[in-house]
Amino acid sequence: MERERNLRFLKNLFKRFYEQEAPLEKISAIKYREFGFLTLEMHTMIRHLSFESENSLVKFLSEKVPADCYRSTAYYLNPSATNMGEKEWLGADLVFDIDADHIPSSCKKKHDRWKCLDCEENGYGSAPGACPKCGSKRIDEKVWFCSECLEAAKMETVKLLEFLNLDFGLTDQEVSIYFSGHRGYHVHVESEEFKTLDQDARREIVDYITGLGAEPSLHGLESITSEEELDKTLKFSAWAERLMKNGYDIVLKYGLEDLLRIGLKDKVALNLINNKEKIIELWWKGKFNQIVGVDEGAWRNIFLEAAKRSGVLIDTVVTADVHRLIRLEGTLHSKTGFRKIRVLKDLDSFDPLKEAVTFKRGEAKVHVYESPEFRVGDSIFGPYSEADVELPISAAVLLICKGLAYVI
Amino acid sequence: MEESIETLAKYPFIPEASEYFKVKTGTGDILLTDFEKPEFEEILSRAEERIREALDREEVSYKSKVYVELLSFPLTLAIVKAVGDSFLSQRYASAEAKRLIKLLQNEKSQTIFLKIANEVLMWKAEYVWQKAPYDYALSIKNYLQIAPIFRDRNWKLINKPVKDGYVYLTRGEFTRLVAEGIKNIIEDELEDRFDGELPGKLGKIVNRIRLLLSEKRPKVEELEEYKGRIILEAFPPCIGAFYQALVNGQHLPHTARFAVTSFLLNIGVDLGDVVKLFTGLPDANERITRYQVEHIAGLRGSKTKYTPPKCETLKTHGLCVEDGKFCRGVKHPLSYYRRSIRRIGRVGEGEKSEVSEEPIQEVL
Ligand code: SF4
Ligand SMILES: [Zn+2]
Ligand SMILES: [Zn+2]
Repeated sequence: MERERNLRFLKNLFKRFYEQEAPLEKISAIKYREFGFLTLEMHTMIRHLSFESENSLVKFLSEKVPADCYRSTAYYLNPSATNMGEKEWLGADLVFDIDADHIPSSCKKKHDRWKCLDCEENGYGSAPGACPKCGSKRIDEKVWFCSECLEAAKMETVKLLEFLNLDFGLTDQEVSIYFSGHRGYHVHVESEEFKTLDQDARREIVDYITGLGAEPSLHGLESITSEEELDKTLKFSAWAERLMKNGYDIVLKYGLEDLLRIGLKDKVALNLINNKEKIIELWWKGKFNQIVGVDEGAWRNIFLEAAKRSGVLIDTVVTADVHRLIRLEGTLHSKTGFRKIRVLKDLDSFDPLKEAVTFKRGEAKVHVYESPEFRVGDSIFGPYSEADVELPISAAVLLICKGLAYVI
Repeated sequence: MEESIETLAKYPFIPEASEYFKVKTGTGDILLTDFEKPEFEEILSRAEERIREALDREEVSYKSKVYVELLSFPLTLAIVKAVGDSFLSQRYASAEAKRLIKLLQNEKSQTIFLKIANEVLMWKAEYVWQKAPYDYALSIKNYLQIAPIFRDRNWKLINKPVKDGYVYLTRGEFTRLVAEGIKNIIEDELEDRFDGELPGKLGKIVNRIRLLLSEKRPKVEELEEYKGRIILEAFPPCIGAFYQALVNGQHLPHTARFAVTSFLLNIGVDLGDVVKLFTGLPDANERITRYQVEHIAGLRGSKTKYTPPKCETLKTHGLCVEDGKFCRGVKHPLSYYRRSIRRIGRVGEGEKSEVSEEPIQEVL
């Protein structure tokens, strides 16, 4: 009953949205894209659809009112063919998915919960792989998101953009940034340079950006001998520069415990700490490694740690997959009622909890089972527990979409 | 036409070379019957020799009779096409690539490198003028079209100097990439098969090559012989699936290919047999060559013998089967293998086999 009421409520709202706001931005080469949709009722996936134009797509959306809409990152000669062979792959955009899911942030302990479906054991934070009490893997997870984890995802996105710009030489016109409508950001790269790269090549890009397989000694930093040599190295290598910057931070900030954790021997770590000032002073002169008692092996460990800190936490599978479907820009996310929306201005000042809010007029009465404190727009709501409340519609939709409330 | 005939003879795939071929052989196309004429005798025999060199030594030589050297190249391609055998095509392409490496190593100027890169391979490559430790800058895209097949970690993009869309390379590295690119181009060219038989002398060469090929080709049946030594049922599901895919001639992602190759080498399968698994099968995966297998076996390059990736790594690449639920918490495919070998060992002593029959299918 409650489920059906919720469904009807959402369907009306979603329908009105697609009918009236015709929200879609232009999708490049739309004819060559595959589309897929999840239905509100059954949550089954309909794939292999194609559209001639944005107009016919909007018409479809307002008739069918899907819960979630996706499109291929790939271009196909026959996007509606049902198997890959017949689709005839022509190329694919390079896409990145940065999701708070993959980023450790302290707020998760506050707003994510899990419960074992077998023994009722439960706790805060990300769900464990198996129940610590009974070992069951049937674990129900209630994840939430807040300004803090969205901010963490944003910081990763900023790091990614630096890679795309500095290392890959991409221009702002080739890179589009989106808030995903839920817990993170999507970055789409539409560039002839990368369109036809295969999976293996894309995996190399993934490794490059995440820092996987980095071997600092191949950049030669720990054996550098002069400022001139260092400048030359940095001039041609964005990764070398990253290693130097983060290495500097490590020397500056890491205490004994941290240094031991990254594999330095007691004595070496102490030497490093005692000579911190001198090392910092010699750092950009390319002579930091001339301190007696801190050997090349130690520098390698420090730069390995620097590599770890420099990498971006992207979803590696998404970027490597050349047949991926990704959320269609401009459409609603059924877990929030927010929209996947393009970040047009400055990312720093972008507030997803404001800009992605879609339903702005009116209120709704809901019964909330349980919810943490949360923000939508400028207002803060909750926490609630088994409460009947009247909320601005966007807040009500969020709770309903999250399965935490029903319409009364 | 600015290139000397000597340059054309060395690098017969550059555009001016085919011009030259046209001019020398008359106004239009040459007719197949022209090859019966005595003045072509030498060119014919050099063409046959190029193929024999590829089969015997896996490397085509450079001979200084430039005219013959130049004109025999397109003819060799025609003959290889007519033979229509993918093992020969691959072997020939890689033998030409080796010839190219040797010639480039002796070049003094950088112009020919850029000419091949930018005008034959259609790359975006530049010479690095600043007093740099590098000689060439190649676009990331072109680099990634070639480099991922070299397993060594110093070819990983992340370990290369990269800035502003370019990868910076030494002359030696650039040479390797160029040669690999030319190898691919020759292979692609040879894909375009030639149906029907060639007449006269050419036809005779084709027949002789086919005969030679039947001796040189690794035989698929020989694979059976090591079936006894590799105990398929003891393979972890991931490797089992890659192996199956390989035997069925299916495409495998890079990491999977590397995993199965290093796995086989590590459980003691003969290097030659592993190579056969790749090259001996119809429609074999062209990109894995003997070179790579030898590399993984530690016979080349860095001389490190590679072990298969850990389960953790396979998991991040999405290659683990059902999150390792058949594997009882092993951390490495090789430990899975050793463990189940021991279990199978006990079968003889009257215990029941616990190893399931099905090599998992569905991962790929
Ligand atoms: S757990 Fe390890 S051995 Fe088992 S399937 Fe996964 S990767 Fe392979
Ligand atoms: Zn439990
Ligand atoms: Zn949070």
